[in-house]
Parts: sequence; structure tokens; C-alpha cells
Amino acid sequence: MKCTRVEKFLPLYIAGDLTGRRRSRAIENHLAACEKCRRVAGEYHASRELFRAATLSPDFDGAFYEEIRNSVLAQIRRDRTPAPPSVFSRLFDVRLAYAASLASLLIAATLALHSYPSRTPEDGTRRRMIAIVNRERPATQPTIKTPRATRTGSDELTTPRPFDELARGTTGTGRRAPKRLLPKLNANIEDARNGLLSGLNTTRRTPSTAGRNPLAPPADATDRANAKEIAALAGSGGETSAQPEVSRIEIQTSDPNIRIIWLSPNREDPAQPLK
Amino acid sequence: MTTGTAHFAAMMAGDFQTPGDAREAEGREHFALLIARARAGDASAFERIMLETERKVVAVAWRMLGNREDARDAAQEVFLRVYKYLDRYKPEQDFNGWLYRITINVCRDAARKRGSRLDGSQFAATPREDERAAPEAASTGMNAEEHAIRAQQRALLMCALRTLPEKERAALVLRDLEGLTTEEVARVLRSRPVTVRSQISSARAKLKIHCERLLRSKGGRRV
Repeated sequence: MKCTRVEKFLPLYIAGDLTGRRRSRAIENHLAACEKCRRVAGEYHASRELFRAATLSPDFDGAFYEEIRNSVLAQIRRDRTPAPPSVFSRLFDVRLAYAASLASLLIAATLALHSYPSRTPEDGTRRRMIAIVNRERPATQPTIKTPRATRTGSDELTTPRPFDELARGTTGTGRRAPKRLLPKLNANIEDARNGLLSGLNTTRRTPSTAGRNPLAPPADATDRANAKEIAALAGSGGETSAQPEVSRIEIQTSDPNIRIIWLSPNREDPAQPLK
Repeated sequence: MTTGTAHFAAMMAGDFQTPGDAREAEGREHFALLIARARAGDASAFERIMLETERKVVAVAWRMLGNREDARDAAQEVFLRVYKYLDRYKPEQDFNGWLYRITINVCRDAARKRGSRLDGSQFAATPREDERAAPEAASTGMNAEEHAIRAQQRALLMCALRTLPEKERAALVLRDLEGLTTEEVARVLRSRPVTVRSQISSARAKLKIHCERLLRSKGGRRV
């Protein structure tokens, strides 16, 4: 084995890290014969010993190690202890947030229910909208969605604006109705007006009494009560007056159980079509 | 009885244990027990683990990082990681190897954070070493100048160690200073034994050059 090759393996050979027993024996034989390589091997030994002596354990004092232990244990205890909840998290607790949302919804729903009746047109104009619930009456009349009546300062009953607008071909929002619907709308209004006149003179009878709710008042009684109410509003006997002072317009909504009745002062000539 | 039977079966199978292996297995069981207790929340068991391993951890950290403060911070981080990853430790695993690996990784992270700050001052002797060396020097007839020369040698050798590439330094520290075998070093560094041998060989050659310079300067002073 040549010196250059031996010098290459010497760093491992001096600490027994060389693998292969044959190679170690070859280096050993070479070192026994070569003075130069033996000197280099000695230098490796010396530097290794010097290095090990210089970098022995640092030998820090006990307080140094105690400081490390205490710091680590304190950190572990801090990590294991859950932090107390902050004011923010207490205020915005999830369960509390859900409860607050639910309470807000309930309050809003209650307010909406209470405020809805106050929006109906109950004012000094004596104009009233009466919804008659008649479970037995079929929805044979045309369905007209009525816009809300506006409040006026007059004490007299006037024809509600929506029908004036419908007669003019406009809706409550000011939009014009399609022309093809105008004849049908006028016919419906005429039918309603005629029906009102006949309803004020004679009580309306239901076509059948089959399937009547036993707890509900009789249909005749209901209609009679309505007629009385209408007559009272008109200021004269509903059953006896041939020419009532008010006009009654009944509108069947999409719900067959709800019918809307509009009362308005009678025109001089009811047969005259609305303009 | 069962243990005796198992031991006899192992003997018959030719699976003999050397005294070193027996000590290693005993130490492994000892640490496995302590770790099981620490996992269960026994703080005293973890403190016991720290007491038994802190000098080893601090020594490696000091050799890798070169100064007291960095070694202390690294040791704290090592034990915090050990505690954090106690669940990942397997009882059949070598605890010392696991601990060395964590220590080397922490030191690498710390060195990266610190950057390439490199000067000889950080390898100065610790105050306790100086205190201990002074009476020793007096008792052995070593004068103050020789004592200063020795401290300087140590600082220069540590500086030389710091100049080594990180992997070579880790391999040399574990092999020459901690006394691990090449195979153990390879396991700790997650490398191959042949790679570790190459790294150790290169590191020893570089250190020899440093030491020769040092010895030459020492010889020149003496003359």
C-alpha cells in the first residue's frame, strides 16, 4: 500500500473506524515500515487528544442546570394550564351569541305581529276593510290583489283608490295594467257592485251546508251580521233600505277562506261604469 | 419464571448479550418507565429524565453552538420538545439516540436563526472553568501565562470546531466527544454509516491542521 493511500485512511484508522480487517492490517504493516506515515499518524492522535481535552464537558455549575429545569417545568405547567377566558371571549361566547340571536328574533317577530294590525286603514274616514272568513264559500270570484288604501282627511266614504286606478287601467303603484285585462277588470268591478247592492237588500245564502264546521257560526248568521254591520256603517237599515248610502265590494283573495269587503259611499248612478 | 425461560431460549438460540448490551437494555427500560410516568402527567418523572440527561444535552449544545447562553436556550428547547413529543417515543427505541437527534436538530435551528455569527470570543472558557483552572495551575506550578495559553488553545480549538461544516461538526462531536459508534451516529443523523465515516475523516483532517498550527505557535512561544 502506498503512503498517499495510507494517509487517506489514517483519520479513520486512528480511532478504529476503518472497515475491513484486511485493510487495517495492511495499514498497520505499512506504518511499521514507514517512518513518515507513522509520524503523520502520531499527529492525528495528538490533535484528537488535544481536541478532546479542550472540548471536555463545559462543567457549568448546578445553578445553571437548575435554571434550565425550572424554566422548562414552568413552561410545561403554563402550557398545561388553560388560560382564563378573556373579557372579549366571555362577551362573545358562542352559546350566549346564539341565545341573543334567538331572543332578537323572538322580539322582532312579536313586534311585527303587534304592528301589523295597526297598519290596516282604521282612521277617521270611516273606511274599513272587513275580512270575512267563510270556510264554506268556494273561490269562484276573481282574485284581485288589493293595494293598501291611503289615508285621507275627508270624513266621507270615498271609493278606494285602488279600484279607481284599476278602472283607469293603473295599479296601486301607478303602473298601467295591460289593456287586454281592462274589460275583464271593469266587468269584475261591475259584478262586485251589483252583488253588493243585492247583498245589502237580501241576506246572502250559502249554496250548501255540507261539511260545515260545527263550532263555526251558521253562514246565514255570519252574513246577517255582516249585513248589519254594513248597514250600521251606511247609517241606515241594511235590510230595509232599497238605496244604500254605501257601496260594498267583495273581493275573494287567493285564500278561499278570506274575502275582502270594501265599503265606499254610493254614487248617484251605480249603473254608470267607473271612469 | 417466564423471564428465565425466555433468557434460556435466547441462550440456546445463540442470542447472547454482552454486558454493554445488558446495560443498554436496562437503561432503555428505565427511561421507558420514566417516560410512561411522564406521559401520565407525572412531573417528577419528567424532572428525573431531565436530571439524568441535562449534562449530556448541554454539552452537545455547547459544543455545537459554542457559548453558554445559546447552550442554555437550546437545552430548554430540547426538553420542551422531548415533553411535547413524548407520545412519539417508542419503548423499543434508543432514548439516548432520540435525545441526541432532538438536540442536534435544535442546535441546527438555533444556528440558522443566529446566522453566521462567528468569532473567537464565543468559545471563551466558562467562568467556572477559569475558577477551577486557577488553583489547579497553582498546584501544578503552572504560571498565569501558561494558564492563559491553555485557555487560548481551547478557544482556538472550539473556533476550529465552529469552522467545520454543520454535518461534519455534528458527526465529530457525536463520535469523538460523545463516544457513539459510527452506526449510532448515522442513526442519529439519519444518514448512512459510510457518509458519516467520510464526514468524520474530513473533520479530523481539518482539525489536525488547526492543531498543528496551534502546536507550532505554542512551540514558538516556548522557545
